[in-house]
Amino acid sequence: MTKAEIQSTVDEYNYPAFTRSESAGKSEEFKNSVRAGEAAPDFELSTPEGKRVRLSSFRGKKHVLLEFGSIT
Amino acid sequence: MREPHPGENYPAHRNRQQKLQYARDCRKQDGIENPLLVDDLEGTVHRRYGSMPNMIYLIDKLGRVAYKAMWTDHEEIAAVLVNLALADRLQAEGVRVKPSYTERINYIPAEYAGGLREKVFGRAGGQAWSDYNAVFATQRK
Repeated sequence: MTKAEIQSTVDEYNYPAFTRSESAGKSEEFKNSVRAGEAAPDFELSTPEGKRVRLSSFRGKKHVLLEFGSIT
Repeated sequence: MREPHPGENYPAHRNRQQKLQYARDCRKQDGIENPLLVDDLEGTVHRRYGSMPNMIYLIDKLGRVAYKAMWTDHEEIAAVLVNLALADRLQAEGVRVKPSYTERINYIPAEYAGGLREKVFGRAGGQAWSDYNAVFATQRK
């Protein structure tokens, strides 16, 4: 993606106001994402303090509960 | 992930530092003790897992999705965890277990208990309420 395309994705994803189009349609996206029994897509993200955590680092060791949320 | 109900106090993320500050504020205000991970500005992980605002996944030790739900329901998750712990115990005892694939619709109150929506929209600001009411006003009886 070009820099402009990345910025466009960021702006569209982080919408400025909740609207009907945002409240609809996401349930199908959720259903069509990774399913029970399938390999969870790996990722590496940071804590607010900058500690990197990789999902696959827990493989063979621990189950992981992954809850998504936001302040609003 | 993104802010589903942005308001004047917490407008949509526009840079990484702002998103990190929201995460710190959320952890403090909600008393979150579990490890908190912050997605990138594009919401790469959030979108990969299905884009819902309060979805939940249980990933088992083998790295497979053991459970996924569109909305977090702590009572249901408790039952799922009990089942996973049972499977671990049985396998440790040499008892063979087999996976039973399940699909279901789980009902939760649309008006969340404990004034959750009031709390969240209150800290977001009045815009969160007006946007929400504009979307759902026509659906209410």
